[in-house]
Amino acid sequence: MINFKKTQWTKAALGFCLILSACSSDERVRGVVQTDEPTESELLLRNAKGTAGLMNFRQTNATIYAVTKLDAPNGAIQAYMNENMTALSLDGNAERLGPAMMLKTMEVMSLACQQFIAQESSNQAKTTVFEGLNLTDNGQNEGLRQLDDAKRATLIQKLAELWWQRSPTPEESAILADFIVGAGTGVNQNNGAELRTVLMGACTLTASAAPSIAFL
Amino acid sequence: MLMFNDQQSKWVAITFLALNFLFIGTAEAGESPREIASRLYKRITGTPLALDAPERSEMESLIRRGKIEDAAMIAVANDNFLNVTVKQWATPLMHRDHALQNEMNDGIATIIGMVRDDVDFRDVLSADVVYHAPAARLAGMGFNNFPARSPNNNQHYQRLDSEMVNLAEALEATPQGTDYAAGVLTTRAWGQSHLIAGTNRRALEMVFDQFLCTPLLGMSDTTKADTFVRRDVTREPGGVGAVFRNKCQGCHAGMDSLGGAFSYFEYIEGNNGTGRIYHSSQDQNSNVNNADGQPLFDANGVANKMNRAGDVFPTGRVTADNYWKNVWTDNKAIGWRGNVFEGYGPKSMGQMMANTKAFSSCMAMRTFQTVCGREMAPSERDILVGYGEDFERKGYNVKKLFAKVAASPLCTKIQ
Repeated sequence: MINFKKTQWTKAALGFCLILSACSSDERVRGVVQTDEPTESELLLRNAKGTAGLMNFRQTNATIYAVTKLDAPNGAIQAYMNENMTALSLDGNAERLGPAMMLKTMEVMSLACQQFIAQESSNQAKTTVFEGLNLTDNGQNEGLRQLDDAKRATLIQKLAELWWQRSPTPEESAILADFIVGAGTGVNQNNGAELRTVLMGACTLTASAAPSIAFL
Repeated sequence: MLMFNDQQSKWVAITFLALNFLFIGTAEAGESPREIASRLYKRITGTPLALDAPERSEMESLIRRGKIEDAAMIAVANDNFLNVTVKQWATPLMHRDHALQNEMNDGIATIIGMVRDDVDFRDVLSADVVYHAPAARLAGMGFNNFPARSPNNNQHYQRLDSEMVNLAEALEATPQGTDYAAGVLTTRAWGQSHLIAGTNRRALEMVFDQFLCTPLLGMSDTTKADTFVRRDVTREPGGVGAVFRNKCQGCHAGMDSLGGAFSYFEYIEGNNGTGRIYHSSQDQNSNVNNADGQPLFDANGVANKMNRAGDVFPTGRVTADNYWKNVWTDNKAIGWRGNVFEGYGPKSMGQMMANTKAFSSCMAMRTFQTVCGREMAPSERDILVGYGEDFERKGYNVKKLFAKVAASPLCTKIQ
């Protein structure tokens, strides 16, 4: 799992995202509560974005297994869920969204990605997300060198389809490509572990981005 | 543990931020049938609808033809509807603190099973049924050496939880095996939550609170006589009789008259998570004592705690049997129905409660909270009543209620 305690950048990003979500949440709450007897169509318009919270802990847990095809229960994931259940979203209500909740959701998704990549690196791969990539340290010295433009694009497409159930937009693709290139810069290009670290980052980012974890 | 270096951490942060920025910027865009199917499915099952899932094409086709509720019913058929969503819906109903993260128990399993089997959901407060996972069925699913369901502990259900057993497949209905069964009101979970210690008033209060979504204070009516108010309630709190008449009596008059339904019940906790319901029909001669150190039941079979503190107001009502009477029938907000407003034991009382309009609206409201992830606004109350009426028209079928609510524009912004 990613050690978030040492990543100040992540905390800053989470904090900023929280500010963004809090602003939009405020707007919709005002719309609903302060109006007398709106029609259903008025409510529809006012609530158009009104129910976007985080998936609750049960949904997050079930989603991990549904998406990654990990065997349930996975000891590491269940131990984490049991310890951190109350820090995750309990009911999906957007108004109870907090930075700790987002951080914990990202943490459990990174753990899920770690287990997922371990599964996909073994002979028991159950998906085709990393098809064509050698994830192992088998002495071939393939590592990050394998990720040419075409394979990177395929990887991003497959990760988005897996976690978001849609193709990434050109902007999303570009952002994820920048991440893969940036995170892979300055590290050993022939090392399987470095490849897995970068893949875990890409997986965690797609898994913990709003299209995946929002309860819309 | 995998670690990112500083440079990589910076990339994680920047990317996370950028992706979510994009999402916020595009969330208002119109939706295709594909996106609507994804949204509906996630609302109902709590999990994403994979691009190659067999349900997807059928849901999208129905959505294109404007049949949103029918599309929702396809999602309802997925096991995760029961394992994730109905579990989330039922958990607060069956625990004392109503917390969502509480463990599985016989009450939750019974609700999930009744939903799966399309049972008229009014039976939840009166049927002689409890759901469990029989050993043979579990063995067929590859699970062995499970503790069997026991009235003395929760190990069977805890294990179902920890092993993430597919409840949609494993659960089976069985009679509770008692002559006083009343749906979830006589499950171990209800006993542990509301029949333990105290005076059993809590069990009645929670029927109103959890199944009619009506706090007892909302029932207060100080015009009702104190005929049924028990001896442990002072008629002069602080020496002022008016306080009793203008405040306490409002709730106690109706609560103590209805609460008689639970007179024969006690719940005693043991060590290490053990504990069970005691009922005088089978435990009259038990040598276990109650929290006051008395025998559990008097000679009439009434739990001694029902008549505790008799010296507070000695001429108050002495509970002598499990008779109950509804003195609040003129409260129009509840929408009482039928003509049975008195009886004996929790079964008939549960039937009366489940026939109210408040019960239907309450189930609709709880469904809305679960599926839509927000509270209903007061201004949406009329729409809530409409959901409740639809629930009744469709035979109190909870699956159809979830489909109806999930397909509502208020919940999923589908136009």
